[in-house]
Amino acid sequence: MDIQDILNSYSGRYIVQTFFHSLTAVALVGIFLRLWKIENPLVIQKFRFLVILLPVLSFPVYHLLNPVRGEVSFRICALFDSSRWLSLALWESFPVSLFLVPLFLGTSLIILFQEVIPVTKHLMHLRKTAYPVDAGAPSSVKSILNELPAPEVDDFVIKDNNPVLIAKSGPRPAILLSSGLLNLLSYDQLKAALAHEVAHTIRNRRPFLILVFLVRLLMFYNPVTLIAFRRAVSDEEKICDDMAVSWTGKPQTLADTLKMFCPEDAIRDNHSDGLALKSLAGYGHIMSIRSRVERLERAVNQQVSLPWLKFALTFLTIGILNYYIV
Amino acid sequence: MRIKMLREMLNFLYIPVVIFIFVVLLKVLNWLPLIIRQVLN
Repeated sequence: MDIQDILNSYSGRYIVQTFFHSLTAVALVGIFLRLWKIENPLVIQKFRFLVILLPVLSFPVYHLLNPVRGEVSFRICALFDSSRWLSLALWESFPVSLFLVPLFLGTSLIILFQEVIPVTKHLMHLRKTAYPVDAGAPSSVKSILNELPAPEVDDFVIKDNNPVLIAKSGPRPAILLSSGLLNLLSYDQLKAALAHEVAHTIRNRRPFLILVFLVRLLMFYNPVTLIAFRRAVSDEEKICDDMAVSWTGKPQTLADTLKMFCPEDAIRDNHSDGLALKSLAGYGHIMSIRSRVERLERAVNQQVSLPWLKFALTFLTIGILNYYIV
Repeated sequence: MRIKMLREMLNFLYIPVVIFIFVVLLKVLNWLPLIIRQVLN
């Protein structure tokens, strides 16, 4: 059984077509977001979910609508027939389909080592251990939480000199903050940081985000889904920033607080030491914080006219074009 | 207000343009392997 036979099987065609459908979706979403100048992260994230969710079902749904979609008669009239590329052998010895194997394999390994294993470890750790509570939160934290729309959010202080602030979701949402953070931040900065974490605990209640994560795991081989999901996570941070600012009314304070988690010289130091970046994830984290700071300082335009019409038209465009991509 | 509405409506004219460009691009990409095959062989 060679690579061509595997790609021509039902599961092989599913993998190949979902990859090409994701490529179309990500390109169209990117173009429309840019053309319509959409900067509201809540709307952008909905568009990104199209890239993650649509290709999962597109292949079986199209075949249900038209059972002869996979046959030669349809492929000849299709806009794009992936089998033409996959059956192509460069200099009669090097099949183009071989390019896809390392791409899918590499993406699967990234997901395994950067997401599946860390998430499983984290869940097991949460089940086994109790909070490393050092002391109860000071009254300033309690009064801030009372000012914010944070119903039933527990607060815990960890003995750590580093600035640590984590929102824990689940049946009993909690916010963990370190003693180092309490010493570092002013009252307003602490309020901005806590408001951001409270926003996370509120949004993490939605089962839809878990569904998206599960679908994204189902598409473990798909590099486009990997990137789209990570960008949606980055949008989630921006959404929580906006929620925090709407409660505190101080975007610059939140931007200043974020800068403390990402010093200006963080990236430069990594290079000046002559060392490679500790990890790609760490680099991505720094870049994500920088983009959030830039956005808060720029006061982006949040208004989007007719967002649902734009979303529906993008959905239809992707759906119709992908039907003719086999 | 009317100008704003008109501008909004014009925004939606991007869609057929984008679809047209996509269709042309996909068609070119669809025929490219056949051309490559002809050239290489």
